[in-house]
Amino acid sequence: MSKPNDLTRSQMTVEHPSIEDRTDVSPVLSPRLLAVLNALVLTSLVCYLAFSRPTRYLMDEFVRLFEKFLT
Amino acid sequence: MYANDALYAVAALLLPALSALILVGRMAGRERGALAYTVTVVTYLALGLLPLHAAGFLELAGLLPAISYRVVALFALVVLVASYGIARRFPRDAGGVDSSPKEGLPKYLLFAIAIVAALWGLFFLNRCTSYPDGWDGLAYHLPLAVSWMQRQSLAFPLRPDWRFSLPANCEMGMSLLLGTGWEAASAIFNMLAATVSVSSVYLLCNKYTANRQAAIIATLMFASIPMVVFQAFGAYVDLFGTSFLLAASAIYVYRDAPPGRIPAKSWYLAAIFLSGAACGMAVGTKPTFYPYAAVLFAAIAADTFSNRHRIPVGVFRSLATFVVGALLFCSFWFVRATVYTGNPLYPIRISIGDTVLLDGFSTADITDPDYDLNFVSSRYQWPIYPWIDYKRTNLMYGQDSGLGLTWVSFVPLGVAFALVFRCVVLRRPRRLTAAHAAIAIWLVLAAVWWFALRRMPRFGLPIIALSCVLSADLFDGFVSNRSKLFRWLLLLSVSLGAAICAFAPAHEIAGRVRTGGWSRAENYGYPAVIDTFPDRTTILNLTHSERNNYYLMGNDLSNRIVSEDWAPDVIDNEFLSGNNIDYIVEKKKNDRFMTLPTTCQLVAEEEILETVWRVWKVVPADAD
Repeated sequence: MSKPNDLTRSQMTVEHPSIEDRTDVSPVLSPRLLAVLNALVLTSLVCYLAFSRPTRYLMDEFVRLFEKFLT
Repeated sequence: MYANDALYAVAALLLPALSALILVGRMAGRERGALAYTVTVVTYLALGLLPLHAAGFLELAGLLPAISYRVVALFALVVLVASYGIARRFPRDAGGVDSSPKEGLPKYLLFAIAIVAALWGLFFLNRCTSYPDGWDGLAYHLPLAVSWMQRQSLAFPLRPDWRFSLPANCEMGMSLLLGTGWEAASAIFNMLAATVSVSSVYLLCNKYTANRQAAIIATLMFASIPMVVFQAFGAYVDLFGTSFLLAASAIYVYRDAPPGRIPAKSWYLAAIFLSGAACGMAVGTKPTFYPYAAVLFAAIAADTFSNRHRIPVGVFRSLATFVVGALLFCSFWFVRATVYTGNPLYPIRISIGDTVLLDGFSTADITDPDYDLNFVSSRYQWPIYPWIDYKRTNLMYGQDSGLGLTWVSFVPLGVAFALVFRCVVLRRPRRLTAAHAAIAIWLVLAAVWWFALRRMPRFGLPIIALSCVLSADLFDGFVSNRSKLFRWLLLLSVSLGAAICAFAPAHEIAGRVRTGGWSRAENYGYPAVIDTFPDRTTILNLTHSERNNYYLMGNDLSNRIVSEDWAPDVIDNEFLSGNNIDYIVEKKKNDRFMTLPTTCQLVAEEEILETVWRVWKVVPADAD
């Protein structure tokens, strides 16, 4: 005989509060919003490539190597 | 010197692995998945550290004169026997494997995973063919580990007023790994911890979103962060602690989902204990994890109390199990600090206003309050920091900075999306959910990082990881709507990000191949004569760099180093003989060398990387 607080696995998992609200994103995104989000991702990507220290350093290195190669 | 000990060190590393396999094998059976993997590795690392903590307590109590590898291996054997006994008490697993079919992954995602895996592989190759690196690692994490190895003691390191006398679970592991005789192996615990952080982020994402692909993409964001990859193969300890904090959270949220077929109550208690143990391992890694652990415990306590009618044990028992697990893996450091200094939180000074309650160093003495200005030119730049990824002293990524192209392209937007989506758009259900809790925790942690952790990027690794989890909502939206543009953007950012990040290890490997500089002296750039010194040679390091403390320990890590910080302004014979110094190694500072006693004999003068090094042999003044 099980004790009152000795729950089964199925009882515990079904009741978990993080489950029931997990699949609500898709209907929220209209094609227009999706396009905006993709545009924001692209903007973020380009900004990083343009302004971040590592990419600017690498670009400088490649330019230096290219010049060395040409000369 | 360590040849005989190497076998014991290997045994001390392998026996806990066997213990973990026995214990988890009993619990999880043939279950294969992120949860089983996380539980297995956390159990292994916990059981690997347990003998060292036990030996440390016995040494403090005066019951153990020396902590040799043989003693640690013996303790690991005791842990193995105990693990077997505990495993026999667990109900036998029915041998079930989760047979629910998992949908295959689309090609673009497999390709992205392969790129990130190749990046990790390149870093692994670089580590296997080189020596440990990272400024903090070389300045004090590794010297601490070697110091314990040499002195066979976990007593306070070197000098009691040393401000790096911090909790050091990761260094404990490093001391075992260095004992194997292969220096690159010192990163193995970090590598394992890094894989745990990845699997934990996946578990948290999987709980946060029902979309498996979205969870995998969010995890990929974390795995592609340059700072994470660098630390996974380096000698910093921030990722080590972060991994256990994430594992503690992940195991806790899966406390009601046994990995095998063990009864729910048995798994619940085991999960709570293991979650506490992982949290304790994070606390015992570095004081920067104290506030994170406090927030985690508060969240777990609140959740346990609010679900008190649904958990299989009482609230007190549940929380006590967590606390006991945590104390097992961090209490040693607080007891040790109390014994040596009377301040359990040493080296952190405890004070109210100007009144010092417990002596130590102010946090400003340990970390410069303006250190964050190494990453931004003004604090107003912090909102755009992810896009500039700047560091004053380093042009490329490193172990202390670098969020990378992939993370930056998606995750800041993903966090903003989660905040808007969960708190504004999604009105139902109106009661608070776990997702709301995750957002609230993220906001609290962000405030902690800003005000208490001095805005150091690497101190914010748990927040960076949680950001990936929150951004799973955005990926769910992209994946569910089958956005083709998103697929291309993901591939573009992952491949470009990995290419930029791969520059450093590729450059290092190519450099070693080109120059043939595979030796330790060539790798670190110090005079090779250091490696010819006999065992237990004591060297005074006057090279103006704490990092050289580790270099000068030599090829077999047998040299004792006296740091420049501890030397007087004028080096005299009294200081040299009082500290049993055999050699002095110095480099020019302000274009001049220091004045040394005339009895010192020049052994070598060598120019390395445009700097002149001098090595002096100390001859006692009365030798004539």
